[in-house]
Amino acid sequence: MSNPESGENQGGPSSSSEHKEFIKLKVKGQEGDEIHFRLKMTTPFSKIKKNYAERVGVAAGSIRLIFDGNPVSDSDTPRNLSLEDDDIIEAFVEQTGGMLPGLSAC
Amino acid sequence: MAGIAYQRLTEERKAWRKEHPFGFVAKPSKGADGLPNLMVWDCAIPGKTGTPWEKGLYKLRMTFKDDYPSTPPKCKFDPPLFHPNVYPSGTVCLSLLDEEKDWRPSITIKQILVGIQDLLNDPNIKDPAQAEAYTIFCQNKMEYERRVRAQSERMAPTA
Repeated sequence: MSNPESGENQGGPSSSSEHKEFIKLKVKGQEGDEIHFRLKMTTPFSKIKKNYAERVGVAAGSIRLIFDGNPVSDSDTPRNLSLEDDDIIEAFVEQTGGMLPGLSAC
Repeated sequence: MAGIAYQRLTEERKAWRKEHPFGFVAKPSKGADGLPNLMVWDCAIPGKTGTPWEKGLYKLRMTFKDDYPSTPPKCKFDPPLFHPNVYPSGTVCLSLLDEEKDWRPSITIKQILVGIQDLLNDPNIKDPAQAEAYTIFCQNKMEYERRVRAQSERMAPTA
């Protein structure tokens, strides 16, 4: 984790997010909704998930966040995922179809 | 690595990170050394909602040649798909991906992936690439749909 994906940010200091304190991210939902967040590079995603859940009106436990096809865990931060400004995080709401409400995939 | 291909793929990746259709994945693969390999991308295409494909997330590997974007990337489902226009190896047969046919250098990775998503539920029966799905599609539509649904459940994203 100490050297996350350093190969992809070849843009030099201007595009490097390593020394930045804040980042802007977009959380996109299945229905095309999009909420922008500005957060610290060290803020855990549990907070984003909670905030997003409140704004769209669903339970935080039913949301799965995905970046680049990989699940984002509650303890992940923009820094450890090497995120850059305007990156998209996708929010999937678990479709339980009214059954098994206690079953959480996370 | 060719300069033009490298430059274009860097741009494609940058654009993708900022904007892409929901549920799709497209990222440079990781080499054995852990560094990203821009010439081979790991992608995933969600099945369209409202079709028998909807539950699945279909993984696909996109391989670019040094003369990309003059030539299209090779797109290969891994694992191979049950679909009339997918070769038994998993390679997609689509005019958009044929430099003799509809490929143009301006076509983006996003357009390719959306084009393949369209193809899933709208196969081109004039140009079959595998016998199994083609035969079942022509002879028994209900069985075909059942097979597609079963495959979509098998390929549902693991939470």
